[in-house]
Amino acid sequence: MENDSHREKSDCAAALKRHALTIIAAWTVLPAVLLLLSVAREMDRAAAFAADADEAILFDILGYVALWMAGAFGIRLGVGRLTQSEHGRTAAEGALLQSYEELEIKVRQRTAELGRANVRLKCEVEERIRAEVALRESEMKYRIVADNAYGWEFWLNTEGRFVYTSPACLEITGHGADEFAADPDLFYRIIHAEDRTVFLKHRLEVEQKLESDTVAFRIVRPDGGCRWIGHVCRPVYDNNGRYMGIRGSNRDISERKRAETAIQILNAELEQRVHKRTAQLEASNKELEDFCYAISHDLRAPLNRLEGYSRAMLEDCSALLDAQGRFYAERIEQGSLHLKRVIDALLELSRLTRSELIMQDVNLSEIARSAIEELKEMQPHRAVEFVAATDVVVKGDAGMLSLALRNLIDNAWKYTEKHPTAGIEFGVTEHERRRVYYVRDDGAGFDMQFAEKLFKPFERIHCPGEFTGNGIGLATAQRVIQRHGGRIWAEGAIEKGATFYFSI
Amino acid sequence: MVENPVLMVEDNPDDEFLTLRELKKYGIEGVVVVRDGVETVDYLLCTGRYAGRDRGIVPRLVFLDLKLPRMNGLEVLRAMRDDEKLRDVPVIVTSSSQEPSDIENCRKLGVKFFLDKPLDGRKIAAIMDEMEGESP
Repeated sequence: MENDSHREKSDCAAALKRHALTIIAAWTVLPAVLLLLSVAREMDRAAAFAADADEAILFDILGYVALWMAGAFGIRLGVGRLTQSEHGRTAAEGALLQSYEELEIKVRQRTAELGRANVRLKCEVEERIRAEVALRESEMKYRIVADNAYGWEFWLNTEGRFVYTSPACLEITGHGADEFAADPDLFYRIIHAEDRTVFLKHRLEVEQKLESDTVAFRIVRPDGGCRWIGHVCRPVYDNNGRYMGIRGSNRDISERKRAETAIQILNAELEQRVHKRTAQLEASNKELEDFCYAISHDLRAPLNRLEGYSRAMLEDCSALLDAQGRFYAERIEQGSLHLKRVIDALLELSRLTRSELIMQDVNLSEIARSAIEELKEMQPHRAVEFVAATDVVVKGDAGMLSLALRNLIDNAWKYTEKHPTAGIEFGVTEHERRRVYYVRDDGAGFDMQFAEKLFKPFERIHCPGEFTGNGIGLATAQRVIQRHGGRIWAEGAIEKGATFYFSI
Repeated sequence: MVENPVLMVEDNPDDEFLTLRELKKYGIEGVVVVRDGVETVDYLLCTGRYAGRDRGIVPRLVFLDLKLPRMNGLEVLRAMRDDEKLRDVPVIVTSSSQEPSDIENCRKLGVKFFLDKPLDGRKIAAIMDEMEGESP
């Protein structure tokens, strides 16, 4: 290819030379022809005008010769120049050839470079196409995720314009995503006037890049209806940490709010009822307390006098009384004493219901043991074998639990008194996967069909003459156990003993 | 020298009779009886109908019922504790009730002795012995 262009250039120079020689030859031959033609014409004219015309013809010929010579000289000069320039041109051609070769090399190099660049570019293009496909796929993925979000998702740019609003906004607010995009203030405007302060406070926190919790506010829809919105948003940043605005979510929490309101109303009503009930209970408690106080004073006072006068009668008038009279006086005294004990037990039962529990560790084993010891001291003739589980400790009110357990032990003691020997046991066992405590005796027992009656005040299942007692011991024990959240029950059979179980 | 009197605060005539009888049995006589809280305070502070009484004569022992007309036993106790001369006079609270709150309130006001009605002379005697043992 290089050789071809070189040959072209040589051909061009040879053609130029050939044309120059043709011009010189033409210039030499043409005047001679013209001169001959002119002489021949002048010869014809001379024949017509005679001798004086010879002079004019000579001048003409001289003129032509001079002109030709001038032309020939000019041509010679031109040809000389041409030859000279051809020499220069040959030198230039050499230089040109050299530079041409250099150029060829450069072109070859550049072509190679371009070829490489081309390959590179091709790769880049392919890469770009691949990236574009991936980007489109990724964008589609994100768009499907965002556009189908259940909530109303949005992204506000740094100027406060909506970059993105998910289509769910239409269902929630009644305004389409395009409306939000066109009108940045729309969001604020649809917030219920009473809730704007809450929203502004939250937005300020987010704009200051502070942590902000979810806030709830109402929005007003175009139809005038209200919806509760649970709103959360946070500042967002690009990969270089540049602030990109606020990304947030709004959820329709109207249903939840309705439920909450309903619960609040119910709670308020319940609280009111509790208050009312508490007040009623307090009033009736106070009444009961006053009543008990009155009983303890006004009912006991006349009994005290009965007791006092019967004793005075026995002491001061015994000389005047026969045995029958003394017996009557004694029965009056005993009757008033008994009634006083019943009143005291009733008062205690009522006090148990009213007083507060002071919870602490209570050792039931110790209480049972000391109760038995006291009974043995009072009735040393009784042959009672007592067995107790050691260190049974429960949480409860020491005074009350002691009272309950003592009543059960008293009961066991009392209902075994008709047997020459007796066994009383305090222990722990399990009932329906609950720890239960029991007091067991091998005494008179009872008919199970009356098991429920045992715990009712003044209900007796034995004749008053058979066993002593005020009829409230078990009722008292039950009240104590119930106040501790426990249960008490009895099992037994006539003449086969009784077991009283209780849980705490 | 006349012994300082025993003061008995009792609104019920039956109780008054029974208590005086019991006290007499154990040799305690010359008991001054007042019938309500206001009268008690008047007697003790020599005011009202007792304005002419010598304040120098302070009872050596007071039997005090809690449930009294006009002014109850606890108020009488407070009035006594506020008076320098009466502060240390021993008081036996006699009550028909054994209401724990009453007993607790009395203890707070310095009462050491409680007796159930009808009063038992033997118990009174035991308390008197105890008090003599305590005094110098």
